[in-house]
Amino acid sequence: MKKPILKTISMFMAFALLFVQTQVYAHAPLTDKFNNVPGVDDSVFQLDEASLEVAMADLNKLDSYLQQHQDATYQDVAKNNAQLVANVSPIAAPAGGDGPLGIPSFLWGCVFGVIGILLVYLMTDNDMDETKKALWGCLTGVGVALILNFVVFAGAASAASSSY
Amino acid sequence: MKKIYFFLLSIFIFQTNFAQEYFRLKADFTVKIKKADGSMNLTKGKIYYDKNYKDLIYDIKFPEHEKWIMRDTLLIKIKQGQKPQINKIPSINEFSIFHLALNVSLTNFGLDNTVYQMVKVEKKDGKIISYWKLPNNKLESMDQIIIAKKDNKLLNVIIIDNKNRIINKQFFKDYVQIGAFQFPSKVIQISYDKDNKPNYQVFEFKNIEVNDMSNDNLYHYQ
Repeated sequence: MKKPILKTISMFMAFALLFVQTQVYAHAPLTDKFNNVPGVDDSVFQLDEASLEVAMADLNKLDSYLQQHQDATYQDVAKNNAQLVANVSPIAAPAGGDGPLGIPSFLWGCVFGVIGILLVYLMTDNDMDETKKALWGCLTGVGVALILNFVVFAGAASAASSSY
Repeated sequence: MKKIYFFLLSIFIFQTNFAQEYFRLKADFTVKIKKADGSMNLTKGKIYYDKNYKDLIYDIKFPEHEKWIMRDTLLIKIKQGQKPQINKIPSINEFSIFHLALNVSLTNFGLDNTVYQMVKVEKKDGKIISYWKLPNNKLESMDQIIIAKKDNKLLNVIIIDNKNRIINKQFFKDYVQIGAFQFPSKVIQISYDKDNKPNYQVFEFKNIEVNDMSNDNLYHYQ
């Protein structure tokens, strides 16, 4: 009975030690490589509500109308209140504006984590080379993490079984 | 000895399973887009997401009734009376705001699981501000990402290019708390074009519900 318990405890401690070491390395700020990272002014975190209100005024009017007419489609509004949809696209964009890589507009709005791929394409004026670099960088990062995790756990299991 | 061992194991399993897990989300959404060139877009409907099925489903009612299903590498668009349109996309549902929020990973914008690494952390006016960079520093257009959070809630994301120009700002506001689950009911994105003119995107979520078990088929396209 003693052997299985000690084996379990040693495996657990090996996993814990290797996990903590990995996490410390992964999350430690890269201060050596990126010294003197300048801070930003507090104003960047402030939202200009007045400008936003002005920009969104027409859309807010349309939204108010739709709250009163819940089942109205674009065609219905264009027929009954054309001025509300003047300059408004009839195409759905549930996740934001124009999308990259020929994918219909969805990537902006509710996709935040893979910004390295998405925003590169958007912000570099559809530069495919930069986008592909970002994509491969992201995939490489995931691949390396998977390999490291496999090595860590395989090593821990091997160490535990060779001790007894 | 055996009894002590199994007692400790039981306590461990009990504690692990007792933690509240949020796995499903639905909400009414409105997306408003105003570009610098004056063009606009408004989309309304309902969103459904289950982090186990990983189908991100938009049930759109404006501009017209249609359904978008994002599953793995497919985007399926369904309009009444038409054949479903299928497009290939990157598998990105796990990086959506919904998946991140259900996995309590929204506070760092999901950057923990990307190749971006934190290079600096500071505290200002009660906010924790972290600076993230790509280790090889090769991406000119997204040189730095700055995250501001307070009380464990993501407040701002600022993206800066290698010329120190802000190219994108995101604001996460009006958090809704449902038990231990929190979700921003308003997300504002401002991106700047080459002439520094702003493009606005506003995402609003209402009637947010989690772990709704009444209609399983709403969360899984079959």
